[in-house]
Amino acid sequence: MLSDQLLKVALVGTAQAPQVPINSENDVDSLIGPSIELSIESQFLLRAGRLAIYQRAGQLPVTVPQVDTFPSKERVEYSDSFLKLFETALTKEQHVLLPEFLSLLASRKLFAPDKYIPRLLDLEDLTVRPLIQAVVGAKGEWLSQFNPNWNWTVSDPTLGSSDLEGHQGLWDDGTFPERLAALRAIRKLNPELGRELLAEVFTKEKVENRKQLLAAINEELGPEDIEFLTLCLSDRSKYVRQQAANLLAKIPNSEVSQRNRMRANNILTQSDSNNASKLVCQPPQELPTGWEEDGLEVNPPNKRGQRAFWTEELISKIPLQHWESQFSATPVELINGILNDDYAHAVITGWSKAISGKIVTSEFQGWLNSLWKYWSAMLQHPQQAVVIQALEQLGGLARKMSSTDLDRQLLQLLRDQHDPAQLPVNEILKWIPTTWSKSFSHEYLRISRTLAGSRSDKAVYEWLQSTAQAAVFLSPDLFAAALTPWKIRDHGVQAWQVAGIEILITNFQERIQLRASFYNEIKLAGVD
Amino acid sequence: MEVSHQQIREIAPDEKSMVAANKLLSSKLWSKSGLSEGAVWGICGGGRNYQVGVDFADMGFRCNCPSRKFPCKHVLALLLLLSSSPDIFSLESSPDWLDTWLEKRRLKREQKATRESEPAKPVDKEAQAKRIKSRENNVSDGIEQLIIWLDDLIRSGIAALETKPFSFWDTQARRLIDAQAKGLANRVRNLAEIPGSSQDWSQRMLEELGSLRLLVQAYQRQDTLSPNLQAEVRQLVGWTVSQTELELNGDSVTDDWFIWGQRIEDDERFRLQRSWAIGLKSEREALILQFAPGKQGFPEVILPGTLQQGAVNFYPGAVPQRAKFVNKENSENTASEIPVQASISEFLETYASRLALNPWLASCGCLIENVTLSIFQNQWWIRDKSGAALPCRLKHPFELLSITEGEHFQVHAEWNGRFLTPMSYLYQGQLNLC
Repeated sequence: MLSDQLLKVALVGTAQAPQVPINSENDVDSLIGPSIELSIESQFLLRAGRLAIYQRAGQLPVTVPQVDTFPSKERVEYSDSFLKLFETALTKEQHVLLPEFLSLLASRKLFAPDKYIPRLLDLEDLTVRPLIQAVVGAKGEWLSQFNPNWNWTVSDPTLGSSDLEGHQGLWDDGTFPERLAALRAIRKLNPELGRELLAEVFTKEKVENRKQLLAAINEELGPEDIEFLTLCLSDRSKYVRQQAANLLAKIPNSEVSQRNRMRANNILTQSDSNNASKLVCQPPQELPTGWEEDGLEVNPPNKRGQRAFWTEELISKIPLQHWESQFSATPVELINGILNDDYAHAVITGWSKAISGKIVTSEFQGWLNSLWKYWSAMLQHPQQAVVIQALEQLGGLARKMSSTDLDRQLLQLLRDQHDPAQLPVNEILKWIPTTWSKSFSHEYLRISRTLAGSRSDKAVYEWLQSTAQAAVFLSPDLFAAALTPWKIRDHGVQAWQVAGIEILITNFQERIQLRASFYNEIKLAGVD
Repeated sequence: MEVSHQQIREIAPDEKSMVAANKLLSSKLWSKSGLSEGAVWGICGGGRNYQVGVDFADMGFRCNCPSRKFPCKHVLALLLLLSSSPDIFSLESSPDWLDTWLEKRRLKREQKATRESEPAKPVDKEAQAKRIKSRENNVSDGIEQLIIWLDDLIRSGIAALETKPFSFWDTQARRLIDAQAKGLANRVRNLAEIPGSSQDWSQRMLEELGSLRLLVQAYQRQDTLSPNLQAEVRQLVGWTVSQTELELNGDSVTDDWFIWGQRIEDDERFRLQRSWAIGLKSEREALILQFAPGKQGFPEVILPGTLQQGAVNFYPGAVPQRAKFVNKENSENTASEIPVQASISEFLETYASRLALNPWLASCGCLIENVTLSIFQNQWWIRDKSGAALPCRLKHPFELLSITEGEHFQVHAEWNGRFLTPMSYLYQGQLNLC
C-alpha cells in the first residue's frame, strides 16, 4: 500500500537510496511542513507513518463472489446433550466410540450435526470414511467443493463399480495405486480382460510393481490363467516367480497344483489302508528338486525344524477337499487320525493355513469347527510358543467365521475354561470387531464380576484390562447391567491393587454411560 | 441461571481442566446438590468431598480443593452439570458452608462500595509531582534513545532485519522498560515478529516503524494535542490511569452490555483477556482488559454471549474504548437488538473517522448484519450484500460455513486494519461463539 518508492528506500536504507521527492499533489505529502530540526531518517519515517494511516483510513473493500448456498433446507435440531456427546466422541480419548455413533446415525438416516461435519471430513482414519460419507450426505459433498482434501466424499458418477470403461481408463492413465485398484475391479467384472490387459504390459513393469500386479489377479483364478502364470514362472525376479507359483498352486488343473498334490500324497498317508483313522506323515529328509521352483518356501524362519516347516508349507497349498476324498474321511476324522504323529502339529497348521485365502462356504464349515476345537485345546498347552501359535491360528479362523458362529465358538471357549482368568482374553476379544451379542456380553460380564469380587491376583487384573475393549463393544442390551455397582475384593489385598481395579471399572462404566446416553439421545433425535 | 457449554469452556483455564471436569459428571459423584436463585452448589465425592459453589451475582466460585487452577475442575463440572442436567439439583435450602461464603462475598461487595464512596486519602502532592517529573525525564530520555535507534535502523535499511536475532529488538525494548515507557517497549517487541512473517512483511514493517515514530513525535509535542488525544498518547507510551483517576475522570456509562467477543493472549508470565462489549442503548463500544498471572483465574468472570447490566468507566482517550466494569450483574433481558451496521462500506467510514481521532487505534469492533462467508483466491472473506468484502481469519472457517450454508448471518468481529477476526455470530436467531 505504501508507495513503491518509499518502500524501496526503506529496504536499502536512506544512506544508500536517493530521497523520494515530496509530492505536493499527494494529500498526505501536502500536510508535511518544514521540519529542519528532524533528521532525514525521522522525516522519512514520519512521512511513511502518515501515509500508512491515510491509506488505512481510505482503504476500500474488495469485491468477491458469493458462494452458492447449500440447496437443501432440511435441518435436524439436536439437543445440547446430543451435541456434547457427539463432540466427546470426536476427542482423542473417546474416538473409539465414533464408528458406533456414526453407524447409529446412519441406521436412522440421520445426518451429523452441521458444526461437526468439517471435523469428520478431516479425520484421517480411512476405515470410517464410508460411515462418514453416509452421515455427512449432501452437505459433505457441498463443503468438499471448497476443500480439495475432501474430494473423496464425492463418488465419481462416471466411475461406478460396474463401469468397465472407466476402470480401463484408469488402468491406462492412472497412478500405480489407481491402476492396481482398476485391475482388481476389471478382474471382478471380466477376469479374462483383466488378465489380457496385465499380460500386455507385464514385462515392461518395474519389478516391485509386477509382484503387486500379480497379486491383484488373485481373485477369480481359473484354468484360463494357467498359460500366463506359467510364463511368469520364468520371470527374472524370484519374488515374481514365487508369486506366480503360489497362484498356480490355487488352480486345481495347473501342473504346479498337480505336482504339489502328488508330493503331499507321498508324505501324508494312511498307516493302514483299511484304517482311515490313522495317518502318518513322512516328510523328505533332504529338499527335493522342484519344490522351490514351484513356489514353496523352503527356508524355515527362526529355529524351526526344516522337515516340519516343509510339511506345513506343502499341506497349506493343497485344497482341503482333497484330503476328504483321498482318505474318505471327515475333517474330524482326519485331525484325530494325525494327532499321534510326530508331525501332527505341522500337518494341522498346514490345514489351518489352507483355509486362509479361501472364501469360506458351507463346505468348509466342518474344517473350521474341527480346527477351532484343536487350537482351542492348544491354548492350554504348557509351552508358551504353542499357545502363541494357537492364538494366531484361532485369530485366522475367526476371520473366516460368520459372526453367529464366532459368537457361539467364543461363548463355548469361555464356558469351557476352568479358570477363565488364564485365557488370553485381551487377544481373543480383538477377533470380534463389532458389537458383541447379548449372550456373549452377558457371559463376559458374569465372569468379570465374579473374578473382581473373588480374586485380586495378577491374572484377574490382566483379565479386567479387557474391560477397555468391553466398554466399546458390549451389547447395548447389557448397559444397565454393566452400570450397576461392582463388588471388588478388598480384604487380604494391597490397597494399590484395589485402586487399580477400581480405576479400570470406573473407566469402563464411564464409557458405557457415554454409549448409553448416545443411544438414548438417538431415540429422541430426528424424524423417522 | 443458564450457562452454555461453550461459555463454560471460555472460562476454563485450559483444555485439560475441561477434560478433567468431564470425568466428574457422573451424578453418583455429587451429593447434596442444590440450586437457588442466587447460587448453585454440591459436594463432589470420590473420597474427598469437596464443597463446590457458584455465586450467580457475579459468577464467583468456591471450592476447597487444593488445585491452583481457577476455576478448578470441580467448579467446571458443577457448571457443566447445571448446563446439561439441571434436574439433578434440588431446590432445597442451602447448606451452612455456602451461606457463610455467600454472606462473606456480600459483605465484601458492600465494603468495596463503601470504600469507593469514601473520599480518597490525602495525597502528598509534592512527592507525587516529584515522581511524575522524574518519570517524565526518564521517558523523554528513553524516547531520545529510541529515535536514534529508529534513525539508525532506517538508515541501514529494513531488508537486513530478517536476519536480526530477537535480542536486537529485546535489548531496545528493555531500555524502554528501564525508561518507564512500557507501551513503547511492547511495540518494539512486537516488531520482532514481522520480518519474514508474510510476503508483504517489509511493507508492514515500514508502516509500524512509521506509526511508532509518529507516536513518539506526538508525545514530544503532547502539549499541542487535545486533552483526549494527549491522554491517549500518554497511555500508548506507558502511562497508566489509576483507579482513582478513572473513577474521577472516567466517562461512566450505564447500559445493558452485550459481551460479543473475547480472546485470551498468553504471555509466558501472564494472560491477557480482551472482552468486547456493546451497549444496547448507548451503542458505545467497550474493550475490557483483564490480566492474570500464570494459570490463575481473572479477577472477574466475563462470559461471552451474555448480557451484563451495569456501569462501565471508560478510560480517557481520543476514541474511548478501553473500559472497566464498575458494577454488573446478569441482565434478565435478552440481547434481541444488537446495534449493528448495514454494510462494510458503512463500517469502513466509521473506522476512518475513528482513525482520524486516534491514528494509533489498534483495533475496533465490526458488527455487521446480513453478511456471508466466502472463500476466494485461497482467502476467507466476510462479504456484505453488495459484494464488498474484508479478509477474515477464523480458527474453524469450515465450521461457520457448514452451519450458515452460504446464507446471511450477523457477524461480530474485531478489525485490526488488515483483517477481521470473527468472535461470535447470530444465525437464525441463535448466537454462536467462534
